[in-house]
Amino acid sequence: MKKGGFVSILLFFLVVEAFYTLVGNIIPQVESRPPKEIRITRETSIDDLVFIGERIMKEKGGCFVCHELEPREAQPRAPAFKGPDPIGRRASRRVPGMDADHYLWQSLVDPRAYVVKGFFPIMPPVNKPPVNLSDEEIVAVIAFLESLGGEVTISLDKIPRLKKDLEGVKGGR
Amino acid sequence: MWWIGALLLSLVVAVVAALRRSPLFTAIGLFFLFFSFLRSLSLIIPPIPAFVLRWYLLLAGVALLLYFSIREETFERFKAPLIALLVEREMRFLRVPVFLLFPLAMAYMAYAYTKPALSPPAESRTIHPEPPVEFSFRGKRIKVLGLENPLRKDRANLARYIAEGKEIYYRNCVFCHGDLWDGKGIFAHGFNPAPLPFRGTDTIAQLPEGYVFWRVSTGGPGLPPNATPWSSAMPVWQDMLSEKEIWKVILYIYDATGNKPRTWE
Amino acid sequence: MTSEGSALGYPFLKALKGVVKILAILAISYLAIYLLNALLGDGVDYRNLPILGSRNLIWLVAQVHLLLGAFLLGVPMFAVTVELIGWKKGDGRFDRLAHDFTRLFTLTGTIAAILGGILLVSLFILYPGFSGYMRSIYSPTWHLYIGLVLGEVISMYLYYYSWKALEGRKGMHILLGIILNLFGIAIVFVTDIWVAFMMTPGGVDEKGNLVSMWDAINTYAWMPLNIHRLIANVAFGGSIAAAYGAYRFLSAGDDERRAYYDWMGYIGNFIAMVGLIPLPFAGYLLAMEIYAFNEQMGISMMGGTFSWLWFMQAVIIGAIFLAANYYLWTAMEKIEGAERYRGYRKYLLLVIVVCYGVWLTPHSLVATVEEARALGGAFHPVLGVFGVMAAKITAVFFLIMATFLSFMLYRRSDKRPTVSWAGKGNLLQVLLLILSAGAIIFLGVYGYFVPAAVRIRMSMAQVVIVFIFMVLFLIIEYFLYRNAEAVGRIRWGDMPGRSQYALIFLAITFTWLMGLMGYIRSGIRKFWHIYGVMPDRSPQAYLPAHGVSTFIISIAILIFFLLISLVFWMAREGRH
Repeated sequence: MKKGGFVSILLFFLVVEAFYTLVGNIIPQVESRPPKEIRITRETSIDDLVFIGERIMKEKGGCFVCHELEPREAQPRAPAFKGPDPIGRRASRRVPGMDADHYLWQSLVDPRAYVVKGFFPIMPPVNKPPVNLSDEEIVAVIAFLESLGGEVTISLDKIPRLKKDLEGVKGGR
Repeated sequence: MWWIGALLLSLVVAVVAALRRSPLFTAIGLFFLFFSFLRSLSLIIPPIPAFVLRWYLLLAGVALLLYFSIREETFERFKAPLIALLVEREMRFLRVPVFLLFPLAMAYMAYAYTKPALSPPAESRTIHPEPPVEFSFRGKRIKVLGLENPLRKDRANLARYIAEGKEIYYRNCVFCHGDLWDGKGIFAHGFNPAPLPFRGTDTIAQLPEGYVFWRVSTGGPGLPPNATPWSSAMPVWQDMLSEKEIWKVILYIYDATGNKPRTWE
Repeated sequence: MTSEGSALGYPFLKALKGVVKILAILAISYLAIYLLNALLGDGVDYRNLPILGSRNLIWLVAQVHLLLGAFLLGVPMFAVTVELIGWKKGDGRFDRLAHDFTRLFTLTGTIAAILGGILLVSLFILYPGFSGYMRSIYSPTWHLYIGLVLGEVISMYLYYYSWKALEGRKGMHILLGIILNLFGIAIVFVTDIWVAFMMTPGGVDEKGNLVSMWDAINTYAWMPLNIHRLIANVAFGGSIAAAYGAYRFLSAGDDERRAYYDWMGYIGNFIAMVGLIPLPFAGYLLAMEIYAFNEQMGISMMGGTFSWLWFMQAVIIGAIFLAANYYLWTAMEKIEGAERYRGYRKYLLLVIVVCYGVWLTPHSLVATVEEARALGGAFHPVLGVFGVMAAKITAVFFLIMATFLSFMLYRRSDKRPTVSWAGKGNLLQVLLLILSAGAIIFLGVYGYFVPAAVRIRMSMAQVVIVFIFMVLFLIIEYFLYRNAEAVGRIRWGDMPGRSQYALIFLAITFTWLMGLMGYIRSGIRKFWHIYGVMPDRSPQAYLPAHGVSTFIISIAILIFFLLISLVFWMAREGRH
């Protein structure tokens, strides 16, 4: 075997490739699976709705790419949901004349309506692709958010009313 | 502590090898110097996690190898002891143990790597849980949200309050939270989870004073379930201190660590 | 090459042969799609390939096809540049080098076309729903693509086979080479239309119906992708050329050849480095457009599922910088007069290693439970400082500057300036270095204390400073070393074997990086064929764990290198 023969170079090549593959295997392993469709009906209990809402936020919604539950980082991309003043409580106080249901629905389908001070308007509307949540799924998400420090008031029955009330409502900062 | 010894030893090896113009041993000395330096850093800062440490060591090893192989002449001298070990007749007494120990060391590393280790499961404990709407302080109901430190507004007496808070701190808190406010008091090592430090940017600097007041007043038992109230040793201070005393000590810990309380938005 | 006549009719005959070959491959592919469809039955959206899996087959074939394509486009850029330099300088070595690489064209082209045919067949057979939709939208661009490929083939054969015939009319021949490159660039642009549409679709309504053809072509990612791929092709071509030179150097039997192949490796590496330095900025542009298209896509690319692959990217690019500098430092040993600059190498090495270390310090650490308890969280008080973007960007700029300085030292090694202001000029350069380095550190540190939006402007300022530094340094360098006297000569061929392995390492690493970055680019679509328009409903719609993806990338790169070795072996000297 020559010092620079094809075989030595091939061996060298395999060592380098093995090293990179090894690095790929020692870093934390992440696998990303497409979200599973979850059926939500009128019979779904509030507890289940909250549970489903959390799963949607973690998987299909991808909400925790920017948001966090606990305020941890010094410079977060988006407001955290828990903490001293959790979302379930503050949602009803954010905009005068808007209860938590209305405020959260509005903020999910038209995120630029009310942007929390100190953050950039970067959130995509969740009812359009690529997030593409159905109305029922948005209800589950709102139920989960309201369960954080507040009372769950949302239900599937409210969808038509919320849509009607919020039609044409333009937000402010 | 033995890292300091290793640090000095590898320094000696590196210097002697450099003086005797032996690149191989200089490299070995420098490598272990760097290694023991990184490990002994744990005397002043939290230890570097093994994952990062391994990368730094790999990088250092590669850098040393590259450095001593730039020049042909240096590289020849670098390789010389290794080649001598393999072929020279007078090295045969060293060769045998090396040929025995090297595979043994490798085998031990493989064993240590694959042997199942007992390590506690990671717990998802929330350190700063959301507070209740209101809580009871010696029978009085206090709302947490929007709660401000009443003493902070009294600017004229602020210095006095802080001085009094300091005294309260040293009578009550210092044993766990430490006289450097770093959560390393004399009792701290007995607790798991460890007492929280007040320095740095992720404890009190992130919290409004009203929140801190709630935590001090109700202690570990006042925590909500997701924050595992049974695994915090923090006493319920409202049984020992008055409302004003707690506010004073809060003034003190912010002042001492140079942190500013967060405001309620 | 004895059959290579001087008559101009001969190249045309060869070009005709090439066209026939491409059309034959295309016809066989169409026939295969037709027959397999008839055999397997129509009307499904997915067919599954047993054992390997449909997605993995497409992944491997597309990756190898793309690498061969990149080689096929990068090498002509390399060859024509080198030919032009040789013509202007009157240096015969350059002409020989360009010709040596052109020899590889025809065979690589054939292999790439066959793989393209396999890709086409497997796409239409395994993903009929998706392929049918793409065809319904991009039929016109597909026909344009076929036309461009034929143009590329014709100009490629003409360029290669008219080398001797146009010896006396070099300008004409270089013009032919430029036309060849224009075809190549156009092919990149057309294929990027499809890829960019899959990532950042435009010109279609929510149901996927075509609204505007131009909007479907000019999507967010299209132009940045074009720029990124073109620059990367230059670097890729250069690094493969350097690796080939290294291989030939290592197996060369005599000094004359060793000298030539040593020089070939040097030129290839030089071109690769020139291409590498603007790449981060092109990548930045691409990322900006992805953010502009959809913030969520951008953030999950940088911080979500893929965040640990950026750690891998840091490992790989750091290794590229280290190897490239190591090559230059060992190459200085063959230059008489380089001993004046030897001492600086250790400082450059130190800077590079420290910056490399900063760059690969992850933001959120992998810690065991005990370690996490000691830390009190996922962030280390000291290492956390290195983990943020401000520190990493600063480290990258220092890597670029250190590599630039290594190259400058190499260039100076055999010269001594004769101008009267030599001392002052040198001092000016040192001052320039200190000032720019200071400014970059200052901006980097300052970046910790400002919000993210301002920090981005900070890194833009750092880009400008690095750029101005290099330009001013080169201007001074030019006047300083004009009419410089030679203090020694370069002993081409007097290189240790390990320097050549550094070149081979660079080529492997660069290719591997392309595989990884391509995976991230493609993977950010997650479970969509066309992001937000057409979901992937096949069983393999998921992204595999990082360990699996890196393994597949390694397999693809291995196949590519085996094919390229085959080309090099078939086209080796003296076989004709």
